[in-house]
Amino acid sequence: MSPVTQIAVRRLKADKIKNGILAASVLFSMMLISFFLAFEMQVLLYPNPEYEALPFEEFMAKVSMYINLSTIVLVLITLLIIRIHCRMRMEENAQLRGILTSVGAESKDLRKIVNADIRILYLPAVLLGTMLGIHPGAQMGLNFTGMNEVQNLEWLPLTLLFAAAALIGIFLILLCNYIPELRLKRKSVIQTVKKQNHNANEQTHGYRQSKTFRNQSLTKRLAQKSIDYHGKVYSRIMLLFASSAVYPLLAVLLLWNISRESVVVDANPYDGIDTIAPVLETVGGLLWFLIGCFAVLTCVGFVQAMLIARIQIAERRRSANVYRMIGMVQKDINRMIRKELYGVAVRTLVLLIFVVVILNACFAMI
Amino acid sequence: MIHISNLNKRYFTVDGEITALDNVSLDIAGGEFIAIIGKSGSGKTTLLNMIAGLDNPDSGSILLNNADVTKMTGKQTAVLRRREIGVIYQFYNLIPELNVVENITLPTELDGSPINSEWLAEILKVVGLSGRENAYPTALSGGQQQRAAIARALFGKPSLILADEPTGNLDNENSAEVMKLLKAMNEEYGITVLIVTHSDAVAEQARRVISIADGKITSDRRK
Repeated sequence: MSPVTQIAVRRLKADKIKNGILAASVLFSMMLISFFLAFEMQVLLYPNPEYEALPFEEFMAKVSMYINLSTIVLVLITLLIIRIHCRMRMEENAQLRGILTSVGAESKDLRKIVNADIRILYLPAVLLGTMLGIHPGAQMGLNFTGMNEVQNLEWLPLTLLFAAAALIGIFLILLCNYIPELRLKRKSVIQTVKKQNHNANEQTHGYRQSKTFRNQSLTKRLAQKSIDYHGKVYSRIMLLFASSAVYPLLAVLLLWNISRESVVVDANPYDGIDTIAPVLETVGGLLWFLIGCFAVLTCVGFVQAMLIARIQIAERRRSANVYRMIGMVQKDINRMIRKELYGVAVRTLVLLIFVVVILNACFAMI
Repeated sequence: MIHISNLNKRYFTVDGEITALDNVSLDIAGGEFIAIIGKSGSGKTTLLNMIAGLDNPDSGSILLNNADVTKMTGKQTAVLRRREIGVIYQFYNLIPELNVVENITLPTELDGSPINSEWLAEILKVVGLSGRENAYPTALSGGQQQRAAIARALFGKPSLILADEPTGNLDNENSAEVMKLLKAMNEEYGITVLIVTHSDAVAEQARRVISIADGKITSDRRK
């Protein structure tokens, strides 16, 4: 094993919990992507002729469009989450890259850090996540089209879909890792090796400076300074929180919009066919399916947001050590972190309102 | 050994243009012990990083043993840093996941060269880290970490050591020790040492002191 790979592996082992959370998040994301892809494939490729013959075509066409749109939004959001995670990871490794460059590591050596991350952290998560999502997605598709009793799952298309989803995931991971890698390569390594305590110095400076202003509470001003200083990081956290919250929100919007649609039975009452019972049964099944989706997505969004919050709070506590060193009491530090998170939450809320308006407008267009 | 001619470097920031180096020319012979002094932002570190091939000038050339560093590819400068140049920083920059020996031998390992155990033992003895081979950086004091960083810079038997504020993070006692070590390397092994410093006490120990202000060399004194 090359020395750089060895360093990368030890780095991954040293921060097991954080890296485990990261891998779990990628796993969740891939699981969702493969779940929805399998669901879509099942619904589009194997429509139930009996089900199609039911006399509420217009209603079902609209429902399908709602679900297709939701699937696209969910896949995009999930891809965004993976991209943000990869970006955060790349920035964490910036200092190591700087040190290695200064002692004579070449670009191919530096790529080994990313390669180790991909092999150990992302690849198993991508493959396992894709595998776990495919079967439930396809089964749900069968249930949705009412074919669970007449047809078994077809494994060949599912296997192909698994391969395609896994390849998309791997391609995305490679893209998310190597593009920032190329960008960082152009950045000077000097900043990373020269300014090791840059953040700490800035924060200390901020604390001392803010002591001269007494209009606002100190912790509030410090929290604001921290948000301003770590603008990029907080924007990313905000995006992650908002993306996680989009899952349940999307489900609520979906359910709300479908419930507003009126079911028009377009069968001829003089044909003497009993249409009411199958219509009610299918609409009932559909609503239960959507409620199930709502529950699952809410859980996934909640777990993801909690995992992200946990990572960020731990990081912030670590970096807040500098305040402890200059005599700030723990209570104030905690209050400051809470205010930072509150600030992020407010911004997330604003972003979410914006997302909801756009999504609702999209649904309304249907 | 080093011939620098007409080196220029400008940075563009939100506050406007900053001239880091303004037509700097300099000759350094092999085996010299030089201190570069000047205020913060005067261009000392920029010059050091350019010699190490970590930064590129806008114009000018740096000949290191007759090879132009400014025209080298990234791979060539990496090889140069592994074999010819040892870099020491203020904040040690040891890799926390590696122990003392692994940190010291890292450039050689990157080079794919075999590890000379006798030389390693000698280096460890010289820097006073014998018995601490398996310790990780977090278990070392600041002075010990800086000595490990010096050992890492020396292990590849470089002809040039570039030290950027090597004592900037140390107390007087450890600073004196680090300077003693660098002087010994210069005298015993004939390694050229170039130190960037704010400290007059450190500069006093050099045989040649170059002052930089606003990117220009304002004085070049030999003792």
